[in-house]
Amino acid sequence: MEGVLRGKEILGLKKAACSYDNPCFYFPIRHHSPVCSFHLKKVIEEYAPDCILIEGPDNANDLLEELVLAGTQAPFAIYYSYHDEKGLVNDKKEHYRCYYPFLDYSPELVALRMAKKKEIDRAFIDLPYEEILIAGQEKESYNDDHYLAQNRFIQRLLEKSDMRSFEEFWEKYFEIEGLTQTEDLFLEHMLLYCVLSRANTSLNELEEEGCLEREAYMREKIAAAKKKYQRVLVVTGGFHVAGLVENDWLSANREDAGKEAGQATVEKEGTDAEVCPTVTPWERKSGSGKGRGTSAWSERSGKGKQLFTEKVPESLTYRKKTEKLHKTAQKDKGVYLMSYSMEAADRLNGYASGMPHPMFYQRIWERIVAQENKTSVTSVNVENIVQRTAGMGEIQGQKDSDWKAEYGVRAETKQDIDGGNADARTGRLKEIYEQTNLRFLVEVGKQVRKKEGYPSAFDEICALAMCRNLAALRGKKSAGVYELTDSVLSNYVKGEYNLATDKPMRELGKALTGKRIGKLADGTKLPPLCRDFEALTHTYRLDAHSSAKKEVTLQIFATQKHREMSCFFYRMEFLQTGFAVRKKGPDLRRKKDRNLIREIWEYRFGEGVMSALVEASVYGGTLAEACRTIAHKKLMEETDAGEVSALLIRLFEMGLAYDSKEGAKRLEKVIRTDSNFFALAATFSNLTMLSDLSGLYQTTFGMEDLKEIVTQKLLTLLIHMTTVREEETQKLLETLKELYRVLLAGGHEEERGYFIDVLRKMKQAPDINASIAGAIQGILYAYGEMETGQIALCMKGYLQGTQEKALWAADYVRGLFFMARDILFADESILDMLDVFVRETSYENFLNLLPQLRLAFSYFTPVEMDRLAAKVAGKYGMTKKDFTRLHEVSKEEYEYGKMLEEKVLKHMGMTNIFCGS
Amino acid sequence: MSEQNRMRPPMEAAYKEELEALATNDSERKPIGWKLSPRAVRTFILGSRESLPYQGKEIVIGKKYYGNDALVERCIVTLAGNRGLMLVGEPGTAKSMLSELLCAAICGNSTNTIQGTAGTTEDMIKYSWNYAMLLDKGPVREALVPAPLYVGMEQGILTRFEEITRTPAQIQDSLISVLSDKVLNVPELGSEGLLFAKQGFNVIGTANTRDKGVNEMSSALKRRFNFETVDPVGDVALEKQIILQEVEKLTKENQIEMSVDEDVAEVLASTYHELREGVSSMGHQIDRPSAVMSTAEAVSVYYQTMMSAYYYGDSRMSMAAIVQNLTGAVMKENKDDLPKVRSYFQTVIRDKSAKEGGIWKEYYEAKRYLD
Repeated sequence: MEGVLRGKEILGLKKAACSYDNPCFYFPIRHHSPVCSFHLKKVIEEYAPDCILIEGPDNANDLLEELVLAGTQAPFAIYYSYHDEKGLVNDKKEHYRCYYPFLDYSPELVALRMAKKKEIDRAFIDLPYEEILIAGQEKESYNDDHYLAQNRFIQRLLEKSDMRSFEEFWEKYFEIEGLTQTEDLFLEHMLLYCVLSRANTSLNELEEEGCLEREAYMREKIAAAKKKYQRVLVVTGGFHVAGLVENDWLSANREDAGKEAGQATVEKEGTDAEVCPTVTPWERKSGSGKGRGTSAWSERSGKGKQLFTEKVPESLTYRKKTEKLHKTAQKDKGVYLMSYSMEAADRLNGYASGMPHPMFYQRIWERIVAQENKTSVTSVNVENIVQRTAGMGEIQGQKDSDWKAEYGVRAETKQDIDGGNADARTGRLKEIYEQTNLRFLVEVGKQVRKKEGYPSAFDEICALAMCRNLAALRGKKSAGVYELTDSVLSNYVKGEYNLATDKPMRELGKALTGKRIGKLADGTKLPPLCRDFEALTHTYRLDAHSSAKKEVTLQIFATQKHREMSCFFYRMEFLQTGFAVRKKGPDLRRKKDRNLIREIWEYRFGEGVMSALVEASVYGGTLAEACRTIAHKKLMEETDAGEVSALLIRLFEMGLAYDSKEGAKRLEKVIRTDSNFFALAATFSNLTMLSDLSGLYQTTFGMEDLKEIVTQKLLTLLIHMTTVREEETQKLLETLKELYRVLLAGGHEEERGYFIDVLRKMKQAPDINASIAGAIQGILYAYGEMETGQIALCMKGYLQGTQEKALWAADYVRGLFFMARDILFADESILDMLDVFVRETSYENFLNLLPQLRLAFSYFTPVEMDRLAAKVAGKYGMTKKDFTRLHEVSKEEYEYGKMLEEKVLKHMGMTNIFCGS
Repeated sequence: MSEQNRMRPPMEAAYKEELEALATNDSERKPIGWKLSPRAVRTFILGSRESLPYQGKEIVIGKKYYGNDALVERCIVTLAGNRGLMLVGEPGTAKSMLSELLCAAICGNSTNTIQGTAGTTEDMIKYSWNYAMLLDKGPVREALVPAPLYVGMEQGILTRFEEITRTPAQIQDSLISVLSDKVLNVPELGSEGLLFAKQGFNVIGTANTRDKGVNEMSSALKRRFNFETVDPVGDVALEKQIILQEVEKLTKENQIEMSVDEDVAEVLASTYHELREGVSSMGHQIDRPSAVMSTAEAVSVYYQTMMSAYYYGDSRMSMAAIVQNLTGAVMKENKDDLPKVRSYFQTVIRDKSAKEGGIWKEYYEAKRYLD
């Protein structure tokens, strides 16, 4: 492809594709491009088609009316879903979904709105969504124009053109420059760029992504329309035009139309046309003294020179034949409208299609429309700012005509630019972009000033001047979003640019993306899931139309209806609709507030609720079905036993019994293969809780078998848990307690016996943690497997052992009391031992042990603590009353008293008062 | 002293021919007081792909600053406006070089410089007096000794203020009124003491982010500058290219007849880049040394090694000498960094040596100099 030249082929292609005299006019677009919309409007006016065909899956043709209803406000999207039940896409038989977003400035929407206004027939012409998937293209957004942005051509172009990114390149040469051009020149540039992009994409890539099949289908639809209508306008991504249109040059260079993709090689000798030297379009002639603005990507001779000197790439000439569509059940397919957000539409947020900074281009579009309609748009009252930028080091703009003349590129003539009214259109362009930049500068300045106290008005003036001057330096006809970003960075960020100073850039980022959320008109067709939601809100008398927050209190254990409403809210929460938030109530997931008997829910209806439901509609026709399907999908993918049980809790909250045999097998497999003790312990704890609560929540648990499996697995792994990290100790103690409690119940004699055996073996381990040893002895004592005397002996071993062992004593006591604190009341000797230990241990050691000792005694109830305190007091001849008479001694008082005592004792020693005593 | 004998000629001398070629071919409008148009200034710093005809020759403008072209454009636009330009960043990120290049291209003089130190006083910035003449003739213009700020204002050229944050805050603040009103008052000269800045005057400051908090700039002064943060080079290939170019320049200036070894430059670029970023190209997580791991330091390590090879060795770059110089460069700031570099060698360089062999093996074997 080194032989790429500008040439007559583009003119030929343009004549075939974009001629007002033709029965079919192909308009190449980039999705979400204001400039494409701007020119498309003019072409529709001029060409006056009687039918407009638009690239888009044709199973959305039923929505064509809804798309242009007066109440439907952009951004919104067509949502396509498909459940591959027959395994036509692949063996996985998965659910698929995809979005086709529309913004006010999307050329497709502009075309549809104009068609509606002018009563022109219109239709989508691409393969149905499921066929696109089968053909090999799985993607989140339908109108993904990565072909135009990511190919060898654009990579090389950027290397040579001093542009930071494709987006900056696009803005400079199309969005900005295109606004000053006539439709004729703009279309010529678009076609050249799109053809070169396609020529630098391999046929295999097109084949793999199903692009060729889609184009074959579109060609068929266009041919059918041509038979029916006299003037057909086809609006598709620019990349596809060369795959749709036919002319002599393309057909002449096609060696074998029937050959399979990837096999055909076309070796075409040069034609009569003049062959240019091998230079890429963006390369400049040597000897130029101009700066980078003097290079153009689009230069061409226009005098019959060839575009391709070696061979014409098959990606341009190859045509695939249409294939028969697959039979799919209607129930597996869905296509609906949903509201969308600017945030979701921002390329920078991961949306692969369209352009970044949707709010910036929205405002550009609003200004374009306002200029055309001669109406006013909210302008920033900053005349003063604009005036004051005058004379601030104005940099001269690029002289475009110089380089165009030098390279033989057809430069814009007065005729090209607004049909001779060049100055007017250039002036309007400046007004559009400058006012938009200014509005953002002022808005961002205001937001930053609230927090930081700067930037000043002068900063804003300097920023606007910098926008203009950067544009001039970069050879742009007006400053765009990249100059705006640079200006804010340079003028609003004071000091080193880092996390502490980046507020202006964050504010700018937010402003450029925008917060706007679209709205659907009343009466828009909804999927069954949305209808189920509406029916349920009606049944439960919930206000599902107002965006005001409302609160509802549910007696979930008292009335069946309230429990059902709770399940409804939990289901809406699970589907991430943002409809309801539980403010109060038992929290099974975190095992908190389980004593509460009421739930308080706050709910609010917004556009996002319906959008989320539309998105989830692929999973089922009712909330219960969708939740169960999604949960099942997640369960089938999960490999952590703890996460699996957490998911079961969610199903339980939603009142959904999980009875899938396939799922049960999967759960069993996960549990059997998961060897993480704590994950299994969490599972055990969760399943035990669900089993205990099933009656109260009136929900079938149905996982008793699973609980047995987890118990067995835990008992098998328990033997290895004699040494655990400090942070895991509490979890282990809780698991031991839970096992003790569950196995105490009838019907678990066998497991209980095994459990006791394991505990005995663990007790013998030489390196066992003291707290675990204490807990094990507590359990054995509770099961009647150990006497208090044995425990007292063991405790004595810790308390009176070597210094190191004594330091573990508090851990031992903590474990023991956690499991069997009643032992302290059952055997007086244990309290005596503790008393001696506390008295005799050194002050430093006592301080080290104090936290664990405090923890150990925190397991006692207040009544028990009271009884214990009375016992200890009794040992020192005191009663509870004596304690109540005591008043608190401050640290200072205590130290003063201690000092006095020492002095007195010293003095008494000196005067021999104690002599002989 | 002839230009040839200068250890380090100023940018306007080093690139005299390029500047003249640009001026000759520059037909675009220039801001008042500028020698070149903004676009020609950009071309001077970022280079051009085409050559320029000049005195029967074709002059190719080489790229002199790598990393962030948009930053250079912002700098040029700032200097053409009403604000001063402040370049901030880690040491060794070519802030000073960029300011010199800007001065050379815009006003043909990169030496009108104030070097900020703790001992910088107001008279080193504005003006002082020839005391003999002052006693003889009294306070007249003739007796006034202009300092760089005065020179800049009087001649309408740029004044560079290096390491501004090393200067006491009250001294820094003497710039405020000059940057706002573009006028300097010399009270001793009475009614003739007002010096109005000539068109073309501006200030380029540089500040090292490691000096943060030493003498923090007042917000009043900050408001008078546009800040540009100069980041270290983020691409190893680019860093290698800079090392090669800078070392080549140094060898020419010092007449060292030794060619620059691309492989050694790649090893150094990769080492500095990985230690700075804390992650290797193979994915190892690396403890970052606290020392400055700048490209300028890498150039210095390369050049030191080259000089020892040229004067004391066999004119061959030795990896052992590279490691020794690297050790010195790292240790000069913090001895605790040495174990980090050692550990880097024992993991990353060991793996690269096993994978790549050749020069990497030689480099790994020289790790003994880190002990």
